[in-house]
Amino acid sequence: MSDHLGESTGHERYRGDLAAYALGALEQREAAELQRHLADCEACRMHLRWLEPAVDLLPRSVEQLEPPAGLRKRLMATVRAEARDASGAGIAAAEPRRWRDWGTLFWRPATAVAASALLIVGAAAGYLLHQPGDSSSVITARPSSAAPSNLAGTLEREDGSAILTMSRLPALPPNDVYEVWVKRDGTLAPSSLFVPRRDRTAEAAVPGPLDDADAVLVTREPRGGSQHPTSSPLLRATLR
Amino acid sequence: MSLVDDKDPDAFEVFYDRHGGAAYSLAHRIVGDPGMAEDVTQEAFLSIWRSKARFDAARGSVRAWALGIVRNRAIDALRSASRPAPKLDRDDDSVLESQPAGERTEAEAIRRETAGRLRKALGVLPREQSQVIELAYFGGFSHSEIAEMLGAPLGTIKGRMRIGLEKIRATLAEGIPEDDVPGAYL
Repeated sequence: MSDHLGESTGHERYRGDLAAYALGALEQREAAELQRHLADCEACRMHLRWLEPAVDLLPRSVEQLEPPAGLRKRLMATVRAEARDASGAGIAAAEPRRWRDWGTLFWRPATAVAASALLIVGAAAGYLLHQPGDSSSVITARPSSAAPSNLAGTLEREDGSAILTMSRLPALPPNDVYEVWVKRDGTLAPSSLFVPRRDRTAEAAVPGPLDDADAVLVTREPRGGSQHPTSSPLLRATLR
Repeated sequence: MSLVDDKDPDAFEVFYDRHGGAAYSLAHRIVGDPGMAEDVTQEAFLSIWRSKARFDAARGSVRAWALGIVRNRAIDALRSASRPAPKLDRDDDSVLESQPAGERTEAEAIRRETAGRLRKALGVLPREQSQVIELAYFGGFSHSEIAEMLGAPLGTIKGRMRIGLEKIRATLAEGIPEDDVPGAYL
């Protein structure tokens, strides 16, 4: 890290403000002034980037509580209703009036998951959190035909590795585990093993590098894992 | 690229499953009230879902980004309600004990253990340094408000923030885990 302390009294003052800025404790006017300085000062930008992980640590240090179950239910009810409305508006504009009532029926919760796959055509490849040149992205993992249709997952790539997050995984027999595979040039290499939580969610690390990988898949395997898949993939995240 | 441009509820549900616990815990720590924490968490996630807010990968992890939104919402809620600052001690066990324990998962246990280790690392800071950091981050107070509250010069407060944060960062470099331990591993 560069150290330009002593270059000027102005610079020293700004340098002293960086921690307060990172903590969100500067007044608005001071923050704006510091931002102008940051635009021109590489040393201060570097120091701020160095400090930021310490600030990111603070929320993770609090006692971890279980959110009320009703929160998830209410949140997702709103989200699904808004997704229905957004898609329904498109249907309404494109279809005769008599179809609108069918649209409502179509979007009842029992069929919402399947319907979303049909209607959100543009979202078929999942969503990405990716900007050109960045190393992070989130890709939607899709269930295979052998899996329950409501099985869901995302693959969050960061700095060459990834975390696979899944929900509504089928329960496992006592002697089985789930195994993650990385596909490269038509070959599957074993990655991590995991079992779902009681609520049927799970997270699994997928160690990198994944730059040359084509896809990440999940299969059910005997406890201890396998060197080659012994069952059909349930979930697939296509990387390229 | 936006998190929610594609408006995929299933993907969003997975996103909530991954970050909702940490978000609710942070909101609870800031507002100090379960009902308000629930409202804050819901509003924060809905704002992520509805907005065109863009995640800037260059600025950190997705989790840090989402928790930053939760923190801002919680501070706003705290100010709107004119509530007092959250307690400054780190003993939240009584709050935890009031939570239903039946559905705690292994992953949650690991996350709690990680949080405990992080808290312990933060606990090595001298009180005057941890106090100003907590007041700023969890209380949402500006450095001048903290200076007035503690009856200390502004320069002293800024200095404590700087030294404290740099110590935490140095500790991080020495081996505090950079990310949560993924749950349910074998």
